[in-house]
Amino acid sequence: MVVLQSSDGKNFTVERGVAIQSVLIKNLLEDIGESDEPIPLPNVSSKVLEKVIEYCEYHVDDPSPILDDLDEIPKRSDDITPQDENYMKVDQELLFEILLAANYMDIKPLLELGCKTVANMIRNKTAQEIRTMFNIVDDFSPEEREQIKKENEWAEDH
Amino acid sequence: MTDLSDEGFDDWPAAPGRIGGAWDLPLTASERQAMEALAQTLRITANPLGRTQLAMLLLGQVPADLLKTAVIHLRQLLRRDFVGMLPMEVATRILEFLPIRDIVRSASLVSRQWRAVATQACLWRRLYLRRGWRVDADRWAFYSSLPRGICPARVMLDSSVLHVSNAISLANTPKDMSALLEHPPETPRQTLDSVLGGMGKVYMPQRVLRQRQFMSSSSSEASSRSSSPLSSPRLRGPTLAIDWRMLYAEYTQLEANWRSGRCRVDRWEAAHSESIYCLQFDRHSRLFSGSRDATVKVWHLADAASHITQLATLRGHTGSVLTLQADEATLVTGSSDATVRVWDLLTYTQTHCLHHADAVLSLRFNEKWLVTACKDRLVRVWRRNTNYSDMFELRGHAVAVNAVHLHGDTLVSASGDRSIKVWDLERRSCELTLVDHVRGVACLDFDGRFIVSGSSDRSIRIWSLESRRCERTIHNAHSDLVRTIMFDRAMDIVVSGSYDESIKIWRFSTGALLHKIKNVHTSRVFKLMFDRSRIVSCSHDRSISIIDFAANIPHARMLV
Repeated sequence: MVVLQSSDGKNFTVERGVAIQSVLIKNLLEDIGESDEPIPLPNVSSKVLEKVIEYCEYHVDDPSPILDDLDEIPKRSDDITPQDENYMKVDQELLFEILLAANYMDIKPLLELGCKTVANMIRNKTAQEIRTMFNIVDDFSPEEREQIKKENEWAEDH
Repeated sequence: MTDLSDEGFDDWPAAPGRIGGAWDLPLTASERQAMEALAQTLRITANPLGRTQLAMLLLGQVPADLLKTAVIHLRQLLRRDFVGMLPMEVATRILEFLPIRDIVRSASLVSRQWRAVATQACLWRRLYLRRGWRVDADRWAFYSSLPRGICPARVMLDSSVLHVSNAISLANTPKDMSALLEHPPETPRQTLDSVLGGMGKVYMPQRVLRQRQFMSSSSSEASSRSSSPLSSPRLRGPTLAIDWRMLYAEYTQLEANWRSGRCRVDRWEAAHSESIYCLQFDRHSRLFSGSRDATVKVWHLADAASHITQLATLRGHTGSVLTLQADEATLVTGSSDATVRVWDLLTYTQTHCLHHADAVLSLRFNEKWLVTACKDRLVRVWRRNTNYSDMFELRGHAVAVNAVHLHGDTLVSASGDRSIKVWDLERRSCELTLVDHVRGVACLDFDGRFIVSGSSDRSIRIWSLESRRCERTIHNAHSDLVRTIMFDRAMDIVVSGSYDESIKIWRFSTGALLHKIKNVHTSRVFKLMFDRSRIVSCSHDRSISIIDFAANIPHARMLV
């Protein structure tokens, strides 16, 4: 068993197989060996860590992810399983925190799932709709916007 | 931006200004001052629970209509700018999942931060490579070495310089430059290479290495680097200044040109003194043509305009040169004089002469095999490593064998007997006979999985080796015999040339006609070949034509 400690000092005891889905923890365990000492995760709050562990427990038997940086085919985001989709039904704040934690703890499948979820929120939306959805301020000058539109004309028909 | 995201978030909104103006209710200056003092008090209340309790207390005294407004704005506090505030590498991963039109038309117009992410070179590099697109690193290195301000499209060098341009580009490439560039990695198309030989369709690291070994003087350096990133598909670290977004846009334009038929046609009249039966061009800008005048000519095919310059004439055949194939160093030609001749391309001299019983109508070679199709109904096969001494025959066709194609140990042959046969060269046996054409089969192309054939019955047929049958038939594809055909599944393109003097472009996946290119030739089309940006064809009219889809695309010849 491995003990993980959240930023707010809460301890979570999980099976080794659950913990090492995080490459960060896997490498740590390899470096320090087995230990009863809690592993501190100063960037992850207990609320987020609980959620991350939920994911790792559910996916404990998944085959290890293949590095696919140069996959031949364009990546798709419409292949999320119903369970994962359900898991990702959280508010933006928590989703954001999960992405940060997955990136920090280096859990590639979770990071990928989070990115796909956000991509699906953005898909088929206009710039204004995206700004509204994520509460973003438009900081372009009208000239800049015209310039960008002109640069991007090539993609109009594709 | 990243300093925030790496640390996670404070309980207090990190950027109060972000909810800004929307909170501005009509208050007097003194009221506002009192408000701000209160906000200050709230901020220093250390315990978040205490702060929350206080805020709830205040909200409890807000009238219902204003509370509604407050709730809307509170919700905004829970929204997150995923692309603007996550670390750059996570933000680009999000955008990677989007279609190009969303990245370009929406994401890049959201805010300056979004634009910075949406124009990241690493994002576009990945998007580009994932399309299966590659950059011809040698050409890129060559153009990069040109003086600044010279647009590749306008570069015109005289033929003597260009003859060795390939050697220059390799030899003058700084030691580590090509390693930084994206060489065409191992792709599914790579498996085609053995059959395509020097067809120039597929560009492989191994080939580049080999090229380097005999083109550059420092061959020891080249071989010692065979395990370097040059041969690795997974390249990291800095890449040479390639504008991946620009290349992506150019590739998109190139595909649109093929779709819409936007092309420029250049004709080189009287390239030979008689009919031109066969041709091939390669990535090193070499074009080979064989003619009824018994000669083979080597040309330089300019990158920029569709310009050809003669480099050499090879004499030796005593009849029409009907078929040829070249790789980096070797040219093999077949003739109605019943011989096949092997030429050394570095010295332009003949090294072997292989005698046949009748005219040689077609030939293909790869690393392992040389295969010829003869009018005497036989297919002859040589193992190349025996120095063309060990030959065996494949019998099965009832009349002349018109065309052959190779992929690894698999040979495909087409005959006037209306059949196509698939052979296993190791077993020396016919594995499959495909019959559907109702007249003789004149030409075929083969990529290991699919065969596309053209016939005297005027149809084009697409066959699957897996299903062992004809998958699609384009009836009346031309109004006369279909004499030459080539396809590329990645481009989803089939191009055919006919005795009806036209060249047609089809969708591989649907068999739909995309374009008929007229006025390319004034007589029978005998042979054509295409790459990503152009079709080159030859005809009974003694001309070589270049149909260029990249006239408006500066870096087209680097796109592979």
